[in-house]
Amino acid sequence: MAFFDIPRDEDIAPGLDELKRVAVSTPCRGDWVTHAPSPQIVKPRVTVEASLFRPSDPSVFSWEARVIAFMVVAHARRCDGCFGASRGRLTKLGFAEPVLDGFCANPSVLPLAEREHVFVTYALRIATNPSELQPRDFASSKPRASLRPTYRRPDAPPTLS
Amino acid sequence: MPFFDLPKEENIPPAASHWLDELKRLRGITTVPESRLAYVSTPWILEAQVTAEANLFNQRSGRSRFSWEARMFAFMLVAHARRCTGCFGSSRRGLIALGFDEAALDGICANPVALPLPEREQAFVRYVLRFALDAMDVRPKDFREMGAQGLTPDDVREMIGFAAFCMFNTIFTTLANTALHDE
Repeated sequence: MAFFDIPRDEDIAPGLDELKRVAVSTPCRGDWVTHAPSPQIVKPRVTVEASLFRPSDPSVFSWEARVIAFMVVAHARRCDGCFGASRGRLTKLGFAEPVLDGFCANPSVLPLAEREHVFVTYALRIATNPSELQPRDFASSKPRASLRPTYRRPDAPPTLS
Repeated sequence: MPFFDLPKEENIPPAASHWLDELKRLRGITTVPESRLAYVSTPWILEAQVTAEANLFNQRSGRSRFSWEARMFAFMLVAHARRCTGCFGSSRRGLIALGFDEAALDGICANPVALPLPEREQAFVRYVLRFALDAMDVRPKDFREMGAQGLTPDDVREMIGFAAFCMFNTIFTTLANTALHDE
């Protein structure tokens, strides 16, 4: 018997419509539903995804770059669920499976503009080895101006895919 | 010159001020750490940080199923393993305020099996450390063992959320502190 049960729809905590919307639109996310009885977990997950993954404005990086970064981090962390979700999204964007395998094997060959490539490279380093980054890594993250934090649209509503 | 600048008070956007005030209330502090001020130009990041801290670290919610000591030990051990000096320092200060001395804490970091906690709280710390560092190596049989130790699915959900928060926090804190300093 599994340790976690998938809750019935009526057992999902009230006020979690956002969760239901995400779970329906991305059926691979069984883990979202598994945590549904714990609103204190669901709330930060929805907020974090809406605030940090930000599939629409105001991200300063492309959707493709963000999903590729998600895939290579999932690959490095051996998270099957995240890896499958990212692959599904990239396949919908037109990337073929062998091409995606190639990115995982060698993330330096990504078909992205230089700035987007830098995003993926640093997202991977930040996710897997943040304590290895030194001040000089920030100084060398060219083009510096475009990578500095940018304040945009403070009232933009977060949008989930 | 550091890569991140600290903002002047008058340059903090209202949306960021709101989340900084929430953070002060949550932690019971009057001065926001530099590692959070570094994110004021991106208030949606502050929102994510504060929402995660309020719900997963559970300082003030009164909902945690585990003791504050156990949570601070787990936070210290994950910070130690992840080499996040900011999180490590804040967890040590929290534990010293609870009456633990530096030498005892050094011993616990060197050998996390000797925690001065009841068995259930020790299991919390042990599994949080494992979830944070080796989630991919946890197997269904490990959950059966947790169940055999009396941990319920809701206990384990809290442990997963706590481990995720520790990882999330070490990334934000480590990199803010690095980007706020020059070599």
